[in-house]
Amino acid sequence: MKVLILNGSPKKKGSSSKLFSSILRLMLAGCEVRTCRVCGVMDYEAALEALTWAEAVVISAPLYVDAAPAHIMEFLEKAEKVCREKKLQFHFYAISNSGFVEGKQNAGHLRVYEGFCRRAGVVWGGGVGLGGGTMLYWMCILTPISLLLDTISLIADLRQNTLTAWEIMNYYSGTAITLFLCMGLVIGFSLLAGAIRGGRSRKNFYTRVLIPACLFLVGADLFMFVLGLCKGVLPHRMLRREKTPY
Amino acid sequence: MKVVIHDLEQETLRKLALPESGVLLVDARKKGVYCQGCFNCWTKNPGECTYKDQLQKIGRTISCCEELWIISRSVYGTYSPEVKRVLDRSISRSYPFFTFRSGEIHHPLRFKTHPHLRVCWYGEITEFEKETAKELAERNSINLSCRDVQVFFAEDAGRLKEVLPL
Repeated sequence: MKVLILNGSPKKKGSSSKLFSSILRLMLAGCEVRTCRVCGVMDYEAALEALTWAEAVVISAPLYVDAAPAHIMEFLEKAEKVCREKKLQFHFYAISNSGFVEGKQNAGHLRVYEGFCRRAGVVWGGGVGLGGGTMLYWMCILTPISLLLDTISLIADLRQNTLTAWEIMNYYSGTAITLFLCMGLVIGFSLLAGAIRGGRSRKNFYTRVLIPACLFLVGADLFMFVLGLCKGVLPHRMLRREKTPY
Repeated sequence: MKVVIHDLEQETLRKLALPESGVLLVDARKKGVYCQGCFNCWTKNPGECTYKDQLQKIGRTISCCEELWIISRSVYGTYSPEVKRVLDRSISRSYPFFTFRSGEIHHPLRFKTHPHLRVCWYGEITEFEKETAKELAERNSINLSCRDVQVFFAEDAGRLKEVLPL
């Protein structure tokens, strides 16, 4: 199976969409996978050319104002033209990630891709809507780091003491927590990878970082305060309210 | 005060005969960069986009009106890339923090205004896309904390005058 993955985030560094597509790529071991950036106008030509090679296409893009980012809309219009002219027949899948915790907020974004498929004459394969994208991004990064640190700590202790199986498991509690928070993503991507391998379509799957919304809110607000401080902006400036004429 | 974001040709716009006062037009076709997702309009320079073009203060423009009109060519039941670019660049209208609104998590608004939202799509549109368009307008209304929302469809740009109560 020839799979083309399109990274639709305009960010050059620290893109959640790019990380998520890399995770999906790991789950597509055995398939022939190519990755293309669709960060802006300069990337369109290479991505459009790659469409003709693919048997399955996956786009990974962030949710911007309830739908696809503007540069992706421009790309889709060009892609529609290519698909119709060359009578392309691939399955089209999508990963949408939102900063808000509810995965369902990605529904409109995925509908845009379904609409594209109907116009372009390609097959809509379904998508995964991820809630709490930035938090999931950090959890996906922290899980292997935590696994490494826990293992180092375990090895150091095993040299001095004999540990029971229960004690060894306790060493991995940090890894277990971060992995648990990402479980929705792992399940969603496994289902998507299965559909891609089988050349099937499936229903959209919505999931989120597995944390209650009220805790997400506190964590995300703190993250934004820290991000602002890192850029030299104090919280009172970020919270500046402007007067309006109405 | 009405703000009208549109992607119309000048000739089509002229035919709409919009009132000369109390209407601020935002021509989405004018040159401008796409949102780069840097969040600098939230964290580094709160309230304004880093890119110094016509959309630098679009967040304030969109928020400070009584009625917000969006007139766009329909592309899969959503906005044209030009109009979407304007909306993407307007996130400085909200704070980077989070709050509950309509039972969901959203960003609190920097400007405490609640405009009426009117969205009009023109061009060929299927029933599936009409549903997408209506859902999108509803979502935008929640996101922008609008008082209410109305959706209109015109077969082509030349027939906008027939459907728009502007």
